[in-house]
Amino acid sequence: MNILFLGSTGVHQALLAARLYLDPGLDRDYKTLPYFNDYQLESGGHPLYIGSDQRNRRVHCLGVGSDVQMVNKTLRQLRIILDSSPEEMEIIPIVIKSQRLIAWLHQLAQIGWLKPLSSNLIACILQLEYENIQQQIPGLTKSDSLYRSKTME
Amino acid sequence: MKIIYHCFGGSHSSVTAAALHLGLLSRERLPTAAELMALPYYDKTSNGDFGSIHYMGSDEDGNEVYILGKKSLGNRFGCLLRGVAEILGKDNQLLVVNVMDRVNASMKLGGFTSRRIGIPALGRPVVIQGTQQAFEAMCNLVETVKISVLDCRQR
Repeated sequence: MNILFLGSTGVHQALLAARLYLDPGLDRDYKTLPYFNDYQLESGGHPLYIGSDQRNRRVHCLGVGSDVQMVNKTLRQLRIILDSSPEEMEIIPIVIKSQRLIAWLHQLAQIGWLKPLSSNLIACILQLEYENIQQQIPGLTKSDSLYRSKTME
Repeated sequence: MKIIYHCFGGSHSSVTAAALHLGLLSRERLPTAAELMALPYYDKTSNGDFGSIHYMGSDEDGNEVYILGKKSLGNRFGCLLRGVAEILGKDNQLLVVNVMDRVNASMKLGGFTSRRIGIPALGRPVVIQGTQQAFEAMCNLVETVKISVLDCRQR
């Protein structure tokens, strides 16, 4: 059983959604999140394993480029082609207005001395988009934080 | 095994490669315009088809062959699909083939004019000519894929 959060990049809004899913009371200092704004990891294009929830479902995030809904459609069809049930992998797209700006700012992270600036600006944008991201995580309510435990790796 | 040939629009190069793989086109001679146009999906897709995985048929060994248009996602798209298949524990059942590096300028220009701008009367002859020019390169790609499939089976 897996949960896959999709975003235009995998190391920003999709990562934040995955972390919020595992820990709704997450500290809002996003820059300190493991993998945050990691250029090398993002350019690899592979899903990132974030942790497992209380029901032992493995939670991942993945960056898929600007057309998140197109890749969402592809991955749902791939799941069918590979004879996997929706229960084996739940796919959750995270779409935010500023994803193009984040993707552009993320390009700065490949230049070492610009990475702190890039990370700070993206963290500010995510702070503004926090509620929008939170609303796209299914079943995430305030009461969830009372009983959902996390198992981070 | 499931084999997915992907290109920008899923309308020309991936269709031609899949047709070669399935034996819908002869490798011995260049295909005619009529033969190309008779192929399913060849120069017939719309914007709504981006991201859709279309089944083209099964080859002589029972491998299922699909085509896909992925816009400009490049080689990253292959990593992405393989990564998801790996999560599902089925990466050994999937082969993803990027056909874009076999696409020439005529195919790009003709494909763009026919499918994106929507003037097939202008773009279709150009994309067909481009497909014929790229045909040998595509035959070569499909041969490579078939060898890879055999390798995967023997492992």
